[in-house]
Amino acid sequence: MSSSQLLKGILEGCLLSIIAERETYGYEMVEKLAAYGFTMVSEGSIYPLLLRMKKEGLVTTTSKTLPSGGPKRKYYQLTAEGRTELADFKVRWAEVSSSVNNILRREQS
Amino acid sequence: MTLSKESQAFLDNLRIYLFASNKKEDEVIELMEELEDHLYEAEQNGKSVEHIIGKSPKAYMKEIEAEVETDGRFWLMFVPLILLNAFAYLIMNKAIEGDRNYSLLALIGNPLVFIVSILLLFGMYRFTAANKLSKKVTITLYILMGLAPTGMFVGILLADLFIETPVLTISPALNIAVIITACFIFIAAALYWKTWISVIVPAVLYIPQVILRYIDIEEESKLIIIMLICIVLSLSMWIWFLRKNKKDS
Repeated sequence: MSSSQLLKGILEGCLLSIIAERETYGYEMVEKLAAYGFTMVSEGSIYPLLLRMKKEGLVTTTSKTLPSGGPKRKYYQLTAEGRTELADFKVRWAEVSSSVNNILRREQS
Repeated sequence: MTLSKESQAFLDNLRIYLFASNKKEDEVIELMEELEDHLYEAEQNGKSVEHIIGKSPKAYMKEIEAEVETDGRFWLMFVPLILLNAFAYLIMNKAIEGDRNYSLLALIGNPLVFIVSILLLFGMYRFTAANKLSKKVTITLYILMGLAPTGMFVGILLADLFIETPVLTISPALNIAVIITACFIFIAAALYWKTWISVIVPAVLYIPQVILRYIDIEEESKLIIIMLICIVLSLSMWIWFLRKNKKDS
């Protein structure tokens, strides 16, 4: 597994969490990621991921016309499967992060 | 809503790349709208294209390509129709000349060249869209791609002269039927692709030939006139396309 693939798995978990909060669209997701310091990937890389998540049935989309006019904007919502996947991710991440932290902390002591 | 030149160029290239990769059109359109929306908002906030798609547009295009579904109709509908169309060109040419002999080599070779040409063309589109090439290289590629099918067709024509393969001969009545069938195929293709080009091209190729058959001039001058008409018409069509493309962009 390359480092970018590892990062993508994490990014997917983060996107699930952001969409779980409330329905949202691509640019807003990127802004939230950045606000929490997740800037390791280029912004556009969320779209291939979102496509896959949609295909896997983790999210659904609806197009909405903006009140200000202009093109339609695609909003993402979490499905039941998406919620299950998010719960799974949380468990996996807790395991991974705590074990990695433990290993790294060992160096200091 | 206007995008910077770089963003627009990237979107255009991505569209070409995905089109040449036989991706489902509605999925591509949906994704393009989403990306356009994103690029617009990002530019409003002073971000560069690179910030969004990363350092390599090619890598990003490949990432997208992997997730957008391929249109299965390409090999089930598109290619058979191309084959049929290729066949129509082949038989039309001969039928007008009253040549009722078909060699196995030409029957197989010509449609094959058509398919190879399409694959080459798609390959070139993907290549030029994904890689930052200089104008010189791009134009050279386009010229080569323009010449390649002609070269291959001529190759088959020559090979047919020197290599003997079984020959199929049809009756004059069947010959008329062949012409009518070919016309139907051209029209069907135009309706399917919703473009007049698949009627215009055969018209440009064959109508002068038909007319000249009824004009009493020498065989040699006939050939020259046909060639000239073909060159002039195809050049003017090419210029018309270039102009149209310029206007669109």
